[in-house]
Amino acid sequence: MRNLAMWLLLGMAIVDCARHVVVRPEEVPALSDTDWNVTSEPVGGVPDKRIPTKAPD
Amino acid sequence: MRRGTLAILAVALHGCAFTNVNLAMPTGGLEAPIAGGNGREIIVMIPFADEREIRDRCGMQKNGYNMDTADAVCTSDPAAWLANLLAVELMAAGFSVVEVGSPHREGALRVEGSLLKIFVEPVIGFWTGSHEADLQVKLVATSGNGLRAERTFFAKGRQGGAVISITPLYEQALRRATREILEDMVRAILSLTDRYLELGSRPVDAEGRVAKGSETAR
Repeated sequence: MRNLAMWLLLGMAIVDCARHVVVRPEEVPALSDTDWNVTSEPVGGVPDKRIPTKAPD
Repeated sequence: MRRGTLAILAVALHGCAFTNVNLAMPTGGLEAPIAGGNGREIIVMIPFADEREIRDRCGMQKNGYNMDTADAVCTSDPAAWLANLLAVELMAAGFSVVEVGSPHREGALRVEGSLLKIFVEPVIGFWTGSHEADLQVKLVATSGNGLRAERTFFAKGRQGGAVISITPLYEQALRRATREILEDMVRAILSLTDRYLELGSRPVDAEGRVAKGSETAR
């Protein structure tokens, strides 16, 4: 009986660790933008062509 | 017998966390400033707009059964705190941060922010737990010469290995999230000013001379 309880506790601890390690990191990326959403560019200047605004396909 | 009593007490107390947590806002910025501002002018509106869904607290305390039992309360205005930190970090990056209303160049970048979320909470596990801090900010960048750009930033700071939920762990999680979002915001502003080189720079004429009378007060 004591062994069974010990194995149960160990199993719960392993599941708990797995939940922390595996599930959590996937939540982050969707909440950030990866680039500026430019709706109006400055007048009198041209974007610097040396610095690509987006990675080429 | 004594061991049994202690075990029962430990299990019972595991469920208790009824005291509010006073959350001191981190004062330090990045450990190593990011370079590249090159004296370009930037105006940071302080404070940010507070657009949080939950404004009466900055997080929660939980008991051992993952129940919300108390609040984490910010000790200062988080919208002003984060805007100030961004201004300091931009200065450290080499930008010339100009106060609102002071004379500035026409192309000076004006940054307005909205704090969308700040929330710190323990994530309770069976043996140990962690503390997580969420920070979300929207920046709107404009300039007198017509720029308008928006970008949303999100950072999650984690402090793991907690056996009990205590205030320093909340603050460490928040410090990590703060550093991450500050770094993201400064790098993003640098990328924007590098993309449009006229932003915040002193105008030059065709021969490369600095134009006179290029400063305005708004």
